[in-house]
Amino acid sequence: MPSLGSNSGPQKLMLVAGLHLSLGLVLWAYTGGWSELYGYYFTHVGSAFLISFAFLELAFALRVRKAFQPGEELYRAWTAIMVGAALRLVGVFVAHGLQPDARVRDIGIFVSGPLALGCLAWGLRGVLRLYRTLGYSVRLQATDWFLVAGCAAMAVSGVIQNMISPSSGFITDVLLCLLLFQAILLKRSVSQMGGGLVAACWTAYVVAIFLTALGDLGITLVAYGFVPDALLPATWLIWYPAAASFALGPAFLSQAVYLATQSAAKRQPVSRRPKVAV
Amino acid sequence: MMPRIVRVLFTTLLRRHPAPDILQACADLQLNDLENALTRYHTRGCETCQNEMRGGLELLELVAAPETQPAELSFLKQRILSAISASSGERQILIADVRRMLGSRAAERLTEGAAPKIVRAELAAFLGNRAADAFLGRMAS
Repeated sequence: MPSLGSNSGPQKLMLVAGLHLSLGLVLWAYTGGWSELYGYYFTHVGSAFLISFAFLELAFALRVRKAFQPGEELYRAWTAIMVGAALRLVGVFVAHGLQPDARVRDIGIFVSGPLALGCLAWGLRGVLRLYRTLGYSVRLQATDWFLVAGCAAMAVSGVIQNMISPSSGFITDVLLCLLLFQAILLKRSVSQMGGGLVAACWTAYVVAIFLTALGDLGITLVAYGFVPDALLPATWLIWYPAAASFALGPAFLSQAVYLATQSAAKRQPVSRRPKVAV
Repeated sequence: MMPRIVRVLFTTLLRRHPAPDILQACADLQLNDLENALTRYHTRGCETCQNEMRGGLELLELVAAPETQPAELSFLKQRILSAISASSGERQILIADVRRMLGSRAAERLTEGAAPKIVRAELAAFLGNRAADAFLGRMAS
């Protein structure tokens, strides 16, 4: 597990996530997708991964939120993101950690899905407002509008599907549509910064949202039988990099805060103004 | 091209102390570093940087003064050298850290001579006031 107080948290997270995903891909290639071993990987190792990363996301989000004081621009945004991370942890634990029956599992998925995503959307609203205030205004390009139209179509189809067979899935679709729109705006704003840990933080959220949307699309395609059996594990594996990206977001910002405070501590003893003793 | 302020300083220095050891002192000051530091700090630097410049100028004036003793001269030369290298070194660290945290756009602004207070606003917005103050504490004061 990466140490929260260290300067290399995100790198360790990426390493662990990369190893876990590689293991899944190797098992998929080795077993052809269906075996007891592969089942064990998803049921136990996968669940442990999702819970651990949800926990790390919450821990890093808590740490970042502590850096802000009430009244600061991003205090409320990080509070919402932190609540979202807490809901994701609870939901993931209920749905995957307890291995409950279908009804309880659905409650867990609802908590880690629409509720957590709703908080994230509220948090990102504040972040986008800050980017606009700081002069990182953006104009969407043609490809962005194409993506937004795709998201809107997905949300509309979710609502129509809900009218035919009521479920909470359409809430997730609508929220993902909103989040994808925010993610596109955020990606455009972030790209103007020219890299850096702050940009990496929000890029991680953008990636997480896109992967979540892709995973959601995968569920829909599987439900309608559009995914061949051999490709089915791919729709499951996608949740691991998504979970890792959600944890990487606050981890990058936590590293930036660490760097800021450590650098200051390092520079403190250096005298800037020479004293002349003549 | 050598900035005007450097020309003035060295002209004064050489006029007052036209001796080989003073010429050596000029060489010891690492002209390139001095030139870069002065270019950055002189006109567009923040208040703290300009104060530092004034401190450097005072030291150079003391070096240039005819009544300054050789022992003091040697001491002052060291102080000027360390002051300049510390200032430019710290600023380079600051710029590198800002690039790492806020990206190349903010770092470019600093390199081009923007006051760190402008970058501080961005740091505070993204990392919180506490982290920004810890990072640029003395410059913000």
